[in-house]
Amino acid sequence: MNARDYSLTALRERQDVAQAAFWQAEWPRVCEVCERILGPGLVANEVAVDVLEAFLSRYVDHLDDRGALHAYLRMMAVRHCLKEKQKRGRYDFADMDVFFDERDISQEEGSHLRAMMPRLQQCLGALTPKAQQAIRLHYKEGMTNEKVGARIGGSKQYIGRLLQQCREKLRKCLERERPDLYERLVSP
Amino acid sequence: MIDGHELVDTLLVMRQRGGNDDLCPELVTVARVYAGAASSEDIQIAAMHLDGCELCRETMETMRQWDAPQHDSEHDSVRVIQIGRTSRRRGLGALIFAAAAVAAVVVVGVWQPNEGDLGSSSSREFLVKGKTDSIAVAVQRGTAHFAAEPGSGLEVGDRLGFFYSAREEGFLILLDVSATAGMTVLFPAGKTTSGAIGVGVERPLPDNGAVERLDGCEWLIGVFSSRPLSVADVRAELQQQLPTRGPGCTYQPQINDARTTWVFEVERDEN
Repeated sequence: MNARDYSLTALRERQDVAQAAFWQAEWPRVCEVCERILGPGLVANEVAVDVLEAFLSRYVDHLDDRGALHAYLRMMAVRHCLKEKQKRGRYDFADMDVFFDERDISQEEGSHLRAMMPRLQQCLGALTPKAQQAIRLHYKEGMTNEKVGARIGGSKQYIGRLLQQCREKLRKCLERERPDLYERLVSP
Repeated sequence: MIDGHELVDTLLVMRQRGGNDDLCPELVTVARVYAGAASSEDIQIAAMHLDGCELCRETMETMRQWDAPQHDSEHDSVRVIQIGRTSRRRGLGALIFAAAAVAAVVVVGVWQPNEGDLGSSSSREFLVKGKTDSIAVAVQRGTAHFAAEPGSGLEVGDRLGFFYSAREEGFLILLDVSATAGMTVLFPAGKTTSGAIGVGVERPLPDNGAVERLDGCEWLIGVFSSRPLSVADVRAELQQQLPTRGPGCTYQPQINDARTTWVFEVERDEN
């Protein structure tokens, strides 16, 4: 299927092939909007992923006219980026206590994890845009490797390897950048 | 204690929690208006929503600024140009008609020209696709604002603002052409090629003008094209086709590669 060859009906029916074509065609456009507001890099890529995924999973159902698709997508991207710009650099740890309880993480460990977060962002920024997309879709949207591959291109094996390589790169980066915290959290 | 990969997993899950942006349902209606695919009911719904949603207003304004014609701020100031030909045929009746025409192009409750500044636009302005390529000439005479119609009289001292409508993205050159006093490029001022424009209705151009005393035929010419045109080439073509003699001021120039050539014959009331 050609990158531009997707119908609104197929998107609304959640057809994988149409969604992949949509992603391929619209990613550069949405990314350009996000970079214009947020500057190039990780945050712009992540917001672009969120916008495209939110459109495919929810907001495509609001649209009944293909003619307004690009204006709508662009508006979604601009709005999301403006919102992101307002809270830039701030993490919302409001519900983290529940998260730590679920994972049996002590208060001290939780505090170290929070302190590592800015470094994680820096390490994520060193990954390729495709790797950043895969991580966002896998960890935020909870997608399987197969689903991530269907979205951004690649087999489930390829996405599995990509994510594994990313995790190893991030681990090394964190160990290098914050050895003090790393040693306290990770068993030798 | 956990192993290194568990640490990365935990951090990534922490980082991605929350942050889902719930969109206003009306945003799709606003998008239809912006794309030029709106009904009048859509326009009212969108206008009401924008009134109450600051983030959506900011979104619209950002997009509107991006899609506005490109120009240099140094050319924003009002420039004096020579427009007008003496005419005894038109009186105030034509101006009243012109004022009614202004009302017709205003999208209900949405497009709000700023008093005293014809070239500026409101933050609540909507942009919809024009059905055709055209230019509206807004006149400020004292405290009165109205749209000039071809054949309606202008007076010395009138300030003019220009608003274009375009059916698709492209390029525009707007010139003041006088049979006796040469040509002035109004948009894009100081450029060698035509200026980029977006789709829309009644979108302001950055350059204004004022009417000065001048004899002879005179026209405003807007050349819309799908690709950039050389200003020098357009001027040369216009010059070649200028009517040289005769009592009337009929002028319908044909410009190579223009998709639309808009012609406005300028006439002046004696005052």
